Amino acid sequence: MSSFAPLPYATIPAEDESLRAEVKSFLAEALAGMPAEKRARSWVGADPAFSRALGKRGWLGLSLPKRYGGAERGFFARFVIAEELLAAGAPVAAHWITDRQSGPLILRYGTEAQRQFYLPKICAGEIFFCIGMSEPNSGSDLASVRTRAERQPDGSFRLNGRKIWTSNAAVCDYMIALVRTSGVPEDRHKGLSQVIIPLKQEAITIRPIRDLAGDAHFAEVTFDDVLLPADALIGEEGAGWEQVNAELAFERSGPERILSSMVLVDTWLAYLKSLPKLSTDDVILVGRLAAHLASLRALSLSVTASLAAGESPVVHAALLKDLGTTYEQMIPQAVAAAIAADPEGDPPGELMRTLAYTMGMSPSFSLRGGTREILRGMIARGIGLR
Amino acid sequence: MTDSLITETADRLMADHVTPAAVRALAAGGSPAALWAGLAESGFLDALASEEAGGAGLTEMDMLPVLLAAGRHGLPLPFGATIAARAAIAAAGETAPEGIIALAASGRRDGGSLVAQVPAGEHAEGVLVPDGYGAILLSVASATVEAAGDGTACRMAWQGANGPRIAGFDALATGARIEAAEMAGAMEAMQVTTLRYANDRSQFGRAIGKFQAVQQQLSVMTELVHGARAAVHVAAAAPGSLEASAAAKVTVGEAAAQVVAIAHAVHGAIGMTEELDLHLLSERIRRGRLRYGSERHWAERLGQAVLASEEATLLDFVRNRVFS
Repeated sequence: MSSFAPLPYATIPAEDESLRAEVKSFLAEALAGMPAEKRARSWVGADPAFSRALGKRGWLGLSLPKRYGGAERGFFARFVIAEELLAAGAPVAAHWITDRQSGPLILRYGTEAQRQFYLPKICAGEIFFCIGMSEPNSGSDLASVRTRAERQPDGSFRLNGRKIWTSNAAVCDYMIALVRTSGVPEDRHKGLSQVIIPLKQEAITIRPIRDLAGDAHFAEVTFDDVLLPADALIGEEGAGWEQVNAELAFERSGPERILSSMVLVDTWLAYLKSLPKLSTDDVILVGRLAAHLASLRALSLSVTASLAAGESPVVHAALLKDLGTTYEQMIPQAVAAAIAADPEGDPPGELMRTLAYTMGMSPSFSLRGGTREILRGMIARGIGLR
Repeated sequence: MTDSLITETADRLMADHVTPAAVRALAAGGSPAALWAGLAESGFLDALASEEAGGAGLTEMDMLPVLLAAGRHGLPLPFGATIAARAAIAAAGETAPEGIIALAASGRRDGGSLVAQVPAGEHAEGVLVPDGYGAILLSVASATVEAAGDGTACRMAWQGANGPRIAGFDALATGARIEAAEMAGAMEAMQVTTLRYANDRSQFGRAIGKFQAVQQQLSVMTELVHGARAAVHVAAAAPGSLEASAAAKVTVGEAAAQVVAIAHAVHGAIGMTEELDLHLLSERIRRGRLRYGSERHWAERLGQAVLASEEATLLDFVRNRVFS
């Protein structure tokens, strides 16, 4: 049995914190005039030109080594930039997953040739990656994936199958997919590998799926006899499960698991500040939102420090994500109750549209990147109950 | 001393002196003398005082493990409060009384008298009472003391209250910060105890911790305990930030309610018995929530600070006002 100790307190090094002012002033200009309901989309809103502009400033691939075009500044520099981008509601979706996990994955598991080919383009914002995990019949039960990459006699692969709920597939150049390279689905974690798939080819069909807010940020991707060269394999053949799990620590621990409703919060705060008189309930809610943001941010910084030290804090990341998304989901509910507490109130349309968007999408906060139930199962294992 | 060394020393100290039997004896009206003597011998009492003032010059972050350990053992005496008070009194060039010093949550001048609510004031020798910009050090011997009877706080009144002034000392915020840290410790102990019970107790032929419904509750409890620890980390790192102390009391107070509920739900009927030590921790947490302002008090003050600030975003407010 283990009680699973908290990570040590961590702070942002001064040299990384110093990036913040520059990012803020860039964003003030780049996002000027963008309405809140659009900014509320943040890391599901894709704008390749915006992502390339970040690349030009050296703000992509911050943790990657200089010899591959990165800034070699580490995880805290990325944390600072991520916080500012998300708080402002910048349309970061085109590069978000690439920068967060595909780049670090290629650095960690890729061959030298793969690193030299992909990483400089990632840092420049020239290529974007999506991740192929879920399939029509493999959601939370990720190990049951059926998409197959069959080895051919010459070492290449023949890929068949389907991925679904793939965020931003339509704007991406590559997918890093978890596929079966040997055995059968019943073999579970064994026989899975990760492959890099160039998406812009005939044998691949990308069908956008419209979400309930009317956006088509995710898609279904069908592979119909796709031929992949031998070097499409990333990492070790058969080690896909371990690699995916290491990747998920990056995916689950960042500020995006805390800040998804922040544009709504700031839009609501601006409205409150314009009112002549506030109810005690509203003031208390504002205080609660600030208090919880502080402890969640501290948890996220601690996980970042652990990742920076080369550890793989998978369970701590799961814990943070569950707490963080609970907070993100509480916000639209609480703000809705607050706004409509006064039937005579006259809230601005922009606030109401931002609330409608955020509330509509909020159930997805605890679905994407691993459902609440899966995360709690991981924590149960972490504390020795499984 | 390194963090882990302080943690070990503090855990041993508390395990040696703050036994469940000692906590029960105090609750039954026993004398705190032996227990306090054991704690005082540890040398922690002047840990926060500067080296020039004869202390160890440690920071609140250095000392956080001591508060967490006190909480884990359900210590009912104001040990953390005494340590903070001694540092403030020394910094003001005044002399602290020998024994227990409590921090009052409030001080109200009413004609010639000063009335204060003093959490854990029962056995105190001295009290730092909020008064004007700062606090005033008063002797309990010269006060009329009325305990509410629930163990949370005493009402103390002084006629013509006069004593050394400790300028700038915020007894309410300091008390809230310390209380939050000790509550976070008590919640950690509840989590460990509850996990152990879930592994030991069998129903339907297997440990109850093997059932998903129970596992999910214990996972949530673990999340809340980690969140509480993070909140008191932030407050200990920025003891000069009223907002950080406020945030800690809010986060810990809200988490405490759920943690206690889950601990008792998992323990079932045995958790309701006098015999089991679990209630010593729930009782410690109950007092903590009621002391130095509940989560509502601090959320309202924090909310007022947010709304009055010029920060462009809530994240900016949290970074600039809570984290520093």
